Parts: sequence; structure tokens; C-alpha cells
Amino acid sequence: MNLAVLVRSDVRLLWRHGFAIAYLVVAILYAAIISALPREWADAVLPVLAWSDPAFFCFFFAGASVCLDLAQGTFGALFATPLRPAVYIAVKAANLSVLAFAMAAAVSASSRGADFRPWPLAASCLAGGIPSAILGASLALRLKSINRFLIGSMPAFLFLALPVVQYAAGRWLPPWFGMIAAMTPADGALRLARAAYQAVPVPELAVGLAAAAVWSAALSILVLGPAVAAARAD
Amino acid sequence: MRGNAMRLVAADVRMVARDPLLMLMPFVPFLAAGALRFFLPLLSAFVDKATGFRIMEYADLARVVITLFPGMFYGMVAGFLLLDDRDDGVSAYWGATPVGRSGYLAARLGLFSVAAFAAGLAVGPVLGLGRIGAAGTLGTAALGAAQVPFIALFLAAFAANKVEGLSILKALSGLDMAPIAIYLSLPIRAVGWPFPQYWAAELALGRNAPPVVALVLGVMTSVLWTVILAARYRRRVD
Repeated sequence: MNLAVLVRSDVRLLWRHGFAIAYLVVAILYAAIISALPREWADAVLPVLAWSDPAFFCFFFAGASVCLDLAQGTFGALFATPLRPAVYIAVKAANLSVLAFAMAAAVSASSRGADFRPWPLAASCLAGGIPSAILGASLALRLKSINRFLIGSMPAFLFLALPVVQYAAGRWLPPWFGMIAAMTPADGALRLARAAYQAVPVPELAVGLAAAAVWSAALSILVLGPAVAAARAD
Repeated sequence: MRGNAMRLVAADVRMVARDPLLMLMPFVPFLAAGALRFFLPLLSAFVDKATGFRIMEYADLARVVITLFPGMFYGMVAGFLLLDDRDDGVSAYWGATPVGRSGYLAARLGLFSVAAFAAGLAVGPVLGLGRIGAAGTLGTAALGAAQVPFIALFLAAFAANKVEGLSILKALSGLDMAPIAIYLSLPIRAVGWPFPQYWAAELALGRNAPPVVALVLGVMTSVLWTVILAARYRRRVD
């Protein structure tokens, strides 16, 4: 399998589908709003903004891509290639994460200039985007049509969103909520996003990265694999 | 023709009612409002403590946004249905049926608009935060319902497929913030003027324009967008 060819053709698809322009529009809008906010307000919002885009949008993007592939019959053709479905979805998520990173970096620069760390931001985009995309793709394979996916995936979407609830309102919520939020697929990504703007202990970041990797592997094997097998059998 | 259009509406209702997942769709705005009712006060306390900004002082604006939300959400669903029909080649055949292409659009968008209007009226009490008067609620729900053709036709007119539809929705998500523009000063505030969502907030909160003027401008912008997008959609199907 030529990974470079896969990445290149997927980047071309992203461009053709207008994602670069969509991200540009949203980045300008966010940058205008964030730069108008006082610094301490922007500091509170930036980690959520940087985290939410890959974590949430990769989820829906992967789902919509799979729905399109199913409708056009191209998903079946994938089985005739040596390409593994998890790699196919991960490459899609990684490419979209690059766009999400560019947007987050531009929005951060509009508020803080060069006063942010790009590497944790980039790691956050990947750590949030890949497991979310695998989950979104798996659900789309089960739900099959885009409207069924948009509605049927809500519980999984809310599950993905738990870390931001903990971030915003953790001190008023019971401790068990924090423990559950810490075990969700995109929690590590939020820790990395925070590290782009403030000091976060290195072990916490290492655990966050490891958790994202474990979630990606577990979702690929336990959720995406059976979903692909079921779609193949249909 | 009217009877045929009603049969089309009935078929859409049956399609939603047959599928347990799609049957949840009308309730999604209420779930969102219920979640906000719980989450917004908690978020407000956090943001107040961290930054001194009091979100709850803008609860009326949150009520406007949640009243507009059913139109946005149902519009998205209607748009993806139009895309499905176009991808399957069904749209092109409606012109040859007694319903006609206009009847097809009117039936599909009308059903979702009526649902969005009813949900817009009912969703405010579920949120339970903020207060806008009865006339403001009616007007906001009506402008919210007008978002159904706006979003649906935008998707169907410009997206080549569902994935492109998602990228267009991402760009359109900026419109969620249009009501915030009422708090900006001129000339930046003028960025919101072409969009009905901005006029809905002016109508409900009466900050920079009398409610009647806001309603008239909101209706005018909605109609203008619908006419332009419907023409673009027809060209695309042809």
C-alpha cells in the first residue's frame, strides 16, 4: 500500500469538497471574535475551540464520508485493495486534523501572537481527530444514511463531549463525572490543547497521548472491524 | 396538484415515522434546549469566575438562538434529503409528475418549515432561561422556520454530495453567531444585516431597530435568499 498516494488523493478530495474554504471562513469568523475578547476570556475559550473542531468535526466528517462511500458503492471496492479500513479512516482524520490545526493556530495567533505552543496543538488535533473519526465511521457503517447517522450518533457525540463539560463545570459536578470524562476518547486531546496555552504536567500529557492511541486501536479492532464486517455482509 | 402535494407530505411523514431513529428527529431541538437549561448556568458560573463575564445576562439571546435552532436543524435534514433525491436522480423526475418540481420543493420544505415553526414556539419553555414576549417569540419562530428553505436549498444548490454538504454546513455554522451581531457597533454590525438570523434577534430584543422593522427586514431577507437559492437549485438539477 502506498500511503503517500492515499494521503495525496485524500487531500485532493478535501480540497474539491471545499473543506479548505469552509475552514478559512470559520477561521476568519473565530479570529474576529477571539481577537475582540479580553485576553483572559480568550484564554478560557481557546483550548475548547482548538479541541472541539477535530474531536467533533472529524466524527461527522468520517461518518458523512462513509455514507457517501456506501451510497456510491465505493466502500465495497476498498475490500479489493490491501488498504485496511482503519488506515483509510485515520488518513482522512489526519488530513482534516491538519486543516483544524491550521485554523486553531491562526485563531490562537489572532489573540496571543506567537505566545502559544504549536506542537501540543498539533498533537491535540491528531489525538482528538483520529479516535473520533473511527467512532464516526463505525456508526455510519451501522446507520447507513446521513440523516440516520446525524440522529443516531447523538449519544456517541455526547459521550465525546464529556471532557468539555468537565473542563467548564467540573468543580460543580460530582467526582465520578470527572472520572468518566477522563476515560472518553477525546479527553487526552483536550489536555494537549490546554498545554498549548498553559503549563500542563508532562506525565498528564503522556497519559493523554497514550489514551488516544489506545482508544484508536481499541475502536478500530472492537467497533470498526465488526461494523466493516457487517457492512460487507449486507 | 394540491392533493398530490399533500400525498407527498404524507409520504415524508410516513418515512420519518417508520424509522425509529428518524422519529427522534423532531425532538432533537428539545433535547438541546434541555441540555442547555442544565449546562448554561454551570457554564455561566465557570466563565464568571474565570473571566468576570456573566453569560446569564445574555439569557434572552440564548432564548432567541434556541428558538431559531429547530429551523437550522430541520433545514439541515431537509437539505440532506434533497441531496439524497438529487444523487439518486429522483429530483429530475418530479417535473414530469402532477406535483411538479415546485410542488415537490414546496411540499418537502413546507413540511419541515411548519415543524420548525411549531418547535420554535415550544422550545423556549423547555430552555426555561431568558424571556422574550409572545409577539417576539412568534416572530422569531417564524423567521426560524424560514431558515428551513435557506439551509436546505443552500445545501442542495451548492453541494455536489453529502460530504460537500458537510463542509457547507461548517461554513454556514457561522450564521449561528449572527444574532450576536446586535451587540456590535456599526459598521461591523452591518455584517449581520443580510441574514434573517440577525433580524430575528433584533425583533426579539429590539436593540437597534423597532420590532416591526426587524420583522419586515427579516421576512424580506428570507424571501430573497429563498428565491435566489431556489433558482440556483433548479439550474443545478437541470
